[in-house]
Amino acid sequence: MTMTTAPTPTRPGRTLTGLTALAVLMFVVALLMALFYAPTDQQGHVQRIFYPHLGSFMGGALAYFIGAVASVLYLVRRNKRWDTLALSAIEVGLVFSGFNLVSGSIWARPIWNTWWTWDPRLTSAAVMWLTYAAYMMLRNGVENPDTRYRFAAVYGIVAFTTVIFTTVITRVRPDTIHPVVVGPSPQNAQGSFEVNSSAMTLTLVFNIITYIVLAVTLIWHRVRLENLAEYVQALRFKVISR
Amino acid sequence: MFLQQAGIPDNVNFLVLGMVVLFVMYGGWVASLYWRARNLRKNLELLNRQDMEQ
Repeated sequence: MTMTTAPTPTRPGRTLTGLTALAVLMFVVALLMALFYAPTDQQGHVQRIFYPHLGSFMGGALAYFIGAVASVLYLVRRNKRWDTLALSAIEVGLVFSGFNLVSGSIWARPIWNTWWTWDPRLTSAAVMWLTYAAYMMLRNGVENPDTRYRFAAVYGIVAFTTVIFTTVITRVRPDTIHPVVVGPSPQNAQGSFEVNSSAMTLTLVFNIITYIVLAVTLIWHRVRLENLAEYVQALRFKVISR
Repeated sequence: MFLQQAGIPDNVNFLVLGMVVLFVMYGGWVASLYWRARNLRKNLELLNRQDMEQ
């Protein structure tokens, strides 16, 4: 039987407040570095989208990883808190990977002369996003809470295969046109560029760290919201049942 | 203009579009988080009052 006791809502602690302030500060600095500090590439200013584009992918992949680990822990422990963490992480992951998809499309328009192409990497990224969007729909479609948590946990683990697939596809499919910045690009890659200066490397690393910190912070806030929703729901039943 | 003279294409409008999308997507989700929390706190206040009255 799943533990359903909702934690009593409290104000954010010092750690979360500090982490939120740090995430906001880092987000502003990362954006300023991408826009003004990193040198202009031969592709023009649109190449600067790459920094939040890759950062978002890393933040989203981390969120989905947390979602998969929390799903495993839910199946092992049957504690509602792990389901709450999985739900929160996957919702945050959808925002991050959603921006990754859209920003890639915006970069592709001037560089590839198209908003979208059914390239292996782009298709796998779209499938990944749709798979996780379906996770949210699945949750809403199952009424019994215990069944919902169990189904969602299994789905959350299986869905993570799409993240692995999207990450490695540029290494295993030479026909992709999506460039790679770490290691050699696929032979058909179009719009490749090199991270060949310390300013570019620093901006890239700082953006990746920033989006990881941001993902963790937002997941934490989303967990608190879910706990508050459960507490309100429990109180509602208490008031109605009198 | 200077970029074009150096052979670099001027595509800053796509960068601006990207930044707008960045703020709309992340800002929109954070705003929805705030909105959901605000509504839940209102409900909680109401339920607490009803609970006390009973």
